[in-house]
Amino acid sequence: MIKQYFRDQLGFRLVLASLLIGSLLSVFSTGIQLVASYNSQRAEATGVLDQIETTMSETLELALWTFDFDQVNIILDGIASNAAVTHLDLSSVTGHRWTRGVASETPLQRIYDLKHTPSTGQVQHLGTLRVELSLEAVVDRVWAQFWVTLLTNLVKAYVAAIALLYIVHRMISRHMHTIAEHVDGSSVATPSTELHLDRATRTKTDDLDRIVRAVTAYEGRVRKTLNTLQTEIAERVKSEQDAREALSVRSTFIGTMSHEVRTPLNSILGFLHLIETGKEVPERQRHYANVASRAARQLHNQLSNVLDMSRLDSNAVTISTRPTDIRRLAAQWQETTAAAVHFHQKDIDVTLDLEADLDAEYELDGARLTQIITNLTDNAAKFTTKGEIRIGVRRAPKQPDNGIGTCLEISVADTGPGIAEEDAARIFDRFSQIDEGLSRSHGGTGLGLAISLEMAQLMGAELRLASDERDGFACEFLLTLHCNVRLDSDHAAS
Amino acid sequence: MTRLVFAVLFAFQAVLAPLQAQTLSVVADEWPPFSGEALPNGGLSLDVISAVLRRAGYDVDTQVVPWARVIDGAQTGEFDIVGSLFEDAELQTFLSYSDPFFSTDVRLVQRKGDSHSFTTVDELRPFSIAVGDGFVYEADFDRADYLNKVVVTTTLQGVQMVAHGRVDLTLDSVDVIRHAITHDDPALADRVEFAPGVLVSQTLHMGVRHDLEGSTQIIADFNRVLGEMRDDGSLDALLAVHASRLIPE
Ligand SMILES: Nc1ncnc2c1ncn2[C@@H]1O[C@H](COP(=O)(O)OP(=O)(O)OP(=O)(O)O)[C@@H](O)[C@H]1O
Ligand SMILES: [Mg+2]
Repeated sequence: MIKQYFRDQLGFRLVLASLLIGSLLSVFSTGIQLVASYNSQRAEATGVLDQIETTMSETLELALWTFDFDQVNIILDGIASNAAVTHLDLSSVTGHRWTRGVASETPLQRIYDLKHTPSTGQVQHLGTLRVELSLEAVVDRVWAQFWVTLLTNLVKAYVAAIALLYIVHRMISRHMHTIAEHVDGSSVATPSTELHLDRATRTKTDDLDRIVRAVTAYEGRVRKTLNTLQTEIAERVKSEQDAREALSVRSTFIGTMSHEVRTPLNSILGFLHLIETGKEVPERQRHYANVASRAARQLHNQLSNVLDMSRLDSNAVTISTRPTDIRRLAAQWQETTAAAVHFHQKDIDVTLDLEADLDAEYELDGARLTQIITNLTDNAAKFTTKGEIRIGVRRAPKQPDNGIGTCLEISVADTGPGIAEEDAARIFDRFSQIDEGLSRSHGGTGLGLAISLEMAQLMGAELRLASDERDGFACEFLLTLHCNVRLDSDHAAS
Repeated sequence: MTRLVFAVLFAFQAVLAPLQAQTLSVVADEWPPFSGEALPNGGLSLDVISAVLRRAGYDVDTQVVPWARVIDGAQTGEFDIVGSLFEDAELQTFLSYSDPFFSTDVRLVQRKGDSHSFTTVDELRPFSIAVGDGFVYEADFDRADYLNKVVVTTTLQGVQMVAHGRVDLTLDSVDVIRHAITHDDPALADRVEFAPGVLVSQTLHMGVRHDLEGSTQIIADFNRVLGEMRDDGSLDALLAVHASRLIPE
C-alpha cells in the first residue's frame, strides 16, 4: 500500500519538498528556541550573582564581622550549591581564607567587596568574595533541549509528510492516473467508455472535475471533426480517382488518335517525297507536292507534340541514362539545326561551342536531351531570319556541393527577335505563343517549350531563359543538367 | 495458688524497687573547658556531676548539645539535669540549683595596650561589647540593655572581634577565655589582655528540673556527696584532671 504511494512520483516529490521545508523550518525554529532558552538560562545563572548581592552578602558580612565562621561556611556552602557556581574565594582582612570548587578561566565572575557599616562611625572593609560561574551546565542543558526539540519536530515533519503522501495520492494522483489511462486507451475511431473518477460527488466542482469535463468535451469535438474529415477525404479520393480515370481515358484517346493519324500521315509523307524526287514529275506538280509535304510535316510535328504532352500527363515518359559521348551528340544537334535552317531556306550560321576539357562520356538520357535541345533549335531556326544560331556545351559555373558528378550547361542562342522581359514568364506555359501573327505564320502549337520544361524537370535539370544577352545574341536558353561522369575503364579497374 | 504467686511477686518487687538505680540524663552545652564533646570526660562540669551522682548511687548518662536545645530539653523533660550553670534567676524558675562545685572569675577582655577604665556596669556605656547569644555573665550586666552589645555565638568570636578592633570589649569566665585562646587561636594571646578588675566571681552549679520526680532528693544526695568528696580530697583529684586546661594567668 505504502509502496504504491511511494511509486507516485508527483506525490513523492511533493512530500520530499514538504519534508525539506519542514526540516529546514524545524532546524530554524529549534535554533530560535535554543537561543531564547540559552539567553534565559544564562540570565538565570547570572542572576545568581545578583541574588548573592541582595540576599547573602549582608549575612555574610555580619558573620565575617563577628568571626562567626560556622555561619560563613554555611553561607558559602549555600552559594556553592548552585550548579552554575564553580569557584568561590573569600579572603578576609583578618587573614582568613575560604575557597570552594576549582578556579577556572571564565568570563563570568563577580567580585564582592564585603564591608561592615556600623550605625555610627566608619565603614570597615572586611574582605572580598570572588564568585565564578560556568555556563557549561547551561550549555549542556540547552543542547539536550535542542536535540529533543529537533527530534520531535523532525518526527512531526515526517509523519506529516507521510500523511501528505497519502492525501495527495487519494485526492489527486490516482485520479490523474485514471485520466491518463483513459486518454491513453481511448481510440479516436471507436468511442471509449465515459471518463469517470472514483470520488464522491460534490456540489462545488474543482479542477479535477473541470479536467474530466474538458477531456470529455474535447473527445466529442475531436470525434466530430474526425467524422467531417473522413467524409471529406472519402469525397476527395473519389473525385481524384474520377479525375485520374478521365485523364487516362483522354490520354489513351489522344495517344490512339495520334497514332491512328500518324500512320496514314507517314504514308502520305512517303508518297509526297516520291513525287518530289520522281524524275518524270513536271515542275508544277513537284511544287505542289513540296507544299503538301511541308504541311504534312507540320501536322506530324504537332501530333508528336500532342502525343508527348499526353504521355507526360499520364506519366508514361521515363528517363533512362546511359554513357553518352556529349561531343558526338552536340555534333548531331548542329546537323539537325543546319537541316532545319536549310528547310526554312534561311541564311543562318549554325555554330557549336564546346568546352575543351569535357569528359569523354556522361551518364545521361541522350534521346530525351536531344528532344529538348531540338525544340530549342527548332524555335531558333523558326524565329530567326538571319545571323547565327550557336549551340554551347560547357561545365556549369556552379558545380555540385558534394563533388559527385558534374553540372553541364547546354545553351542555345540565336540572333532572332528575342523575347521581351514581360513575356519571359509565360513562354513555358502550354499553348502560349507571344506574337500571334508571327507564330501563326510559323505554325506550331505553343507546346514545344512546355514539353521541354517538363522533360527537363523529369531528368532533374533546369531549363530557363538567360536573363542577359551576350555576344550580340538576342535570345539564349540555358539547360543546366546534373549528371555523373562516366569514368575511364582504367579508373574503373583501379 | 495463683493468688499466692502474685503476692510473692508483689513483695519481691517492693523489696527490689529502692535498690534499682535511676538513670539520670545530664546535659550541658559546648562551653569549654567546663563542658565539651572533645574534652576528657565531657569537661570539668560533666565529670564532677557524674562522679558525684554515681557515688550517690545514680546511673548517669551525659551528653553535650547546643544551648538552645539544653534549655528546651530541660523544660520538656527530655533532660533531667543541666550541668555548667552560673547563678541565674530565670533558669531557677524551672531548675533547682545544687551547691556550687567550682568558681571562676568573669572578666572583660580588651585589646592589648588599651586603657579603658570602669568600675561599674554603667561606666561601660561608651564601649561596644561582644556578648555570647543567651550567655549568662552577671545579673546587672545581663540586664543592662543600654549597653552597646554585639551578639556573637561563641566566646572566641568575641575575643577575635576585640583583637581586630571591631568591638572594644568582650567578656567571659577567664577559664573559658584562656581555653579559647590557647586551643583555637594562640596568636590572639599577643593582641588581647584582661581589663583590670573582675566583673563578678561566678560559681558553677548543677540544675535539676523541678518536675523531675525526686529532684529534691537528688539535690540533697548531690550536695551531701559533694561535701564528702571535698572533705576526702577526691574532688580536688578530679579537678586536677582538668587542671591542664585551666591555665593560670
Ligand atoms: N528563339 C526564339 N526567339 C523568339 N521567340 C521565341 C523563341 N523561342 C520561342 N519563342 C516564342 O515562344 C513561343 C512558344 O514557343 P514554343 O516552342 O512553345 O511554341 P511554338 O514554337 O510556337 O510551337 P511548337 O513548338 O509547338 O511548334 C513561340 O511562339 C515564340 O513566340
Ligand atoms: Mg517550338
